[in-house]
Amino acid sequence: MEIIRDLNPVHLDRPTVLTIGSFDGIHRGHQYLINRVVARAQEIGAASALVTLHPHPKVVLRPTSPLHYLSTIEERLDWLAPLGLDYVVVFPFSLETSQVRARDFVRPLVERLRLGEIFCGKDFALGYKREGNVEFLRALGRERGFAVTVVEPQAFDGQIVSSSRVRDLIAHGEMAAATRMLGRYPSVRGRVIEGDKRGRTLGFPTANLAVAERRLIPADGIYAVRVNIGAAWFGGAANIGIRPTFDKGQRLIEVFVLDFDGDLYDQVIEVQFVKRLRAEMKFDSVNALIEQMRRDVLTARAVLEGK
Amino acid sequence: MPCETCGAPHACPFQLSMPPRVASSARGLDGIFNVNKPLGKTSHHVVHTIRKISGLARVGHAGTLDPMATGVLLICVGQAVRVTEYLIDHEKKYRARVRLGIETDTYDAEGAVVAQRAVNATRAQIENALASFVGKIAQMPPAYSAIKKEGVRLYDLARRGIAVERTPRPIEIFSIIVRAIALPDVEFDVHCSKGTYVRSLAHDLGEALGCGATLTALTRTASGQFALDDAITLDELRAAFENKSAEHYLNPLDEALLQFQAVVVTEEIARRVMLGNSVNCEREYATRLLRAYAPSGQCIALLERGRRAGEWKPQKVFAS
Repeated sequence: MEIIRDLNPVHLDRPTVLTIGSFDGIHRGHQYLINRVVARAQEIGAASALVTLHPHPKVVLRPTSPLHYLSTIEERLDWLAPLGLDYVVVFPFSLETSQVRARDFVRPLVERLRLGEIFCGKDFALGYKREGNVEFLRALGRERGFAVTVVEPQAFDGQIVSSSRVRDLIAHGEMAAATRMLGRYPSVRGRVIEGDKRGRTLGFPTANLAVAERRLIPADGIYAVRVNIGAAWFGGAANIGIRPTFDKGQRLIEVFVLDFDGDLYDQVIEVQFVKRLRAEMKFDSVNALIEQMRRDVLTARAVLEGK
Repeated sequence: MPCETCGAPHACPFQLSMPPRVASSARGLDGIFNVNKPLGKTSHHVVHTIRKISGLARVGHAGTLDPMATGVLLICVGQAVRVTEYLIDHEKKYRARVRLGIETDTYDAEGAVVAQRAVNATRAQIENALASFVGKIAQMPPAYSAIKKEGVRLYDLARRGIAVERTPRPIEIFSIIVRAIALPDVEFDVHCSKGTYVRSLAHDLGEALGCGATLTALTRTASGQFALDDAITLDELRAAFENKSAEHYLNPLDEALLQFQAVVVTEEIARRVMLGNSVNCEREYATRLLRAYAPSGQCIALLERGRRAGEWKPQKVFAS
């Protein structure tokens, strides 16, 4: 998979089957669409490509939008890597690009990527005021020599998989349902930052995660998690929430890593949320808090070890 | 009391700055080869071949791949044979191809066909069935597997026609990504815990769809941090041994131990550890095991928490 961040110097030597969208989260609906693109490309001897718009058009057009991402662009590229695409184009979406007429939007795809066939959903549209809908693209395709294939939305478990549905599930702590829609555990990647070291004094040193702006994190509560540190995976218990004694309204992810005793400061780690164990609680005393933390760690370990 | 391990008077710093790790001891090759197993050979055959081309006595593999499988097969040589159990614990990634509508006794294409059915599963049904495996599941191992029941391998019993009651085993599927569906074939990538049988996944997919299924191709794309992209072929390894450059392909044995906290000990303590003596350390560690390095950067031992507070016993010593 080759990553293209600038279309200008690109001149592909064979036609391309491609799909365009935000592709936030690479959920099973995305995976299905990408499989169709890759299979079609193989069938006709073309290259397969995906154009991912970033930032999300909603965020660009309405900066006050509450949208939070299921993936940073790095995560998205990592999840795309095994899907068999030849090219992934990271297309920076801006207010300027939102003004580009559909015809002009398509031009570099035709000229640089030798667009042969475009796969999209039936509600797909590109360009200024979404003028480039399926009908428009079909007409333009007849003129410029590319085909348009509309892919029907797929229902999995009786529900249409969409990024907004997955966001909703994760925001409500519904990890099992989100896992099924993603085909993997919901996860968050972040750098470990200096915390208030309160956990250490309570006997549970935690790593505090700095997460990219607008990156979606699961509902507040305690989770059984898997933690990727360097080359190894560990179990853990994570607390997500606002800490009343110490905060500026920021939600924090604090991870206690099981069977680990090292300094994680400034390392990038990935946390996979396996199960939400409980909601946040208030405690009357420090001892009650410590007792509950001990129980949470035991529960997390039992969940992770399958007992 | 000063800390015996690091010599600090009170607060034990436990970890000096880490020297560059070194691969092999002075005596010979100790480490892990990441070999791409060829199609049609048993894992044991690969071990045997490497024993022959290297002249090394201690060679073993970490986690069997069936003859029809290709991909990452980790080969431990010398002292690294003793870290095999930790390599086996690592998570694995596979690329699998499954044929729907055919059921075999071994759950793979090597076995005898026991049933054939029409396939009328939809794409969504297939994807749903695979997605339902993600998470912690109990998996029934194949009758033809190396698991032992009362000391006898299941495949030995199966070959003799003895039906035994198998017990499902807890495994975990971290992700399944469908790569292609071209009926009756389904190709997917799976990331799973140790002990997962992809043959059983194939079989269970067939059960879930009601048409039966069997595994027709399998490649292990990663075992822990060892990826297929970095694997070498047996021919490359043979040539390397002939040019006496095999150590370039050798991964240090402590690659198997990265999940354990690292400590660097003084020369004095290293000598005691290598003799098999316990050492004491004031600092508390959350882990049961520690990997210990000499100041030279050589991984000398795996230390296990002793019964007394602060006591660490060499569980395995890799150098002498």
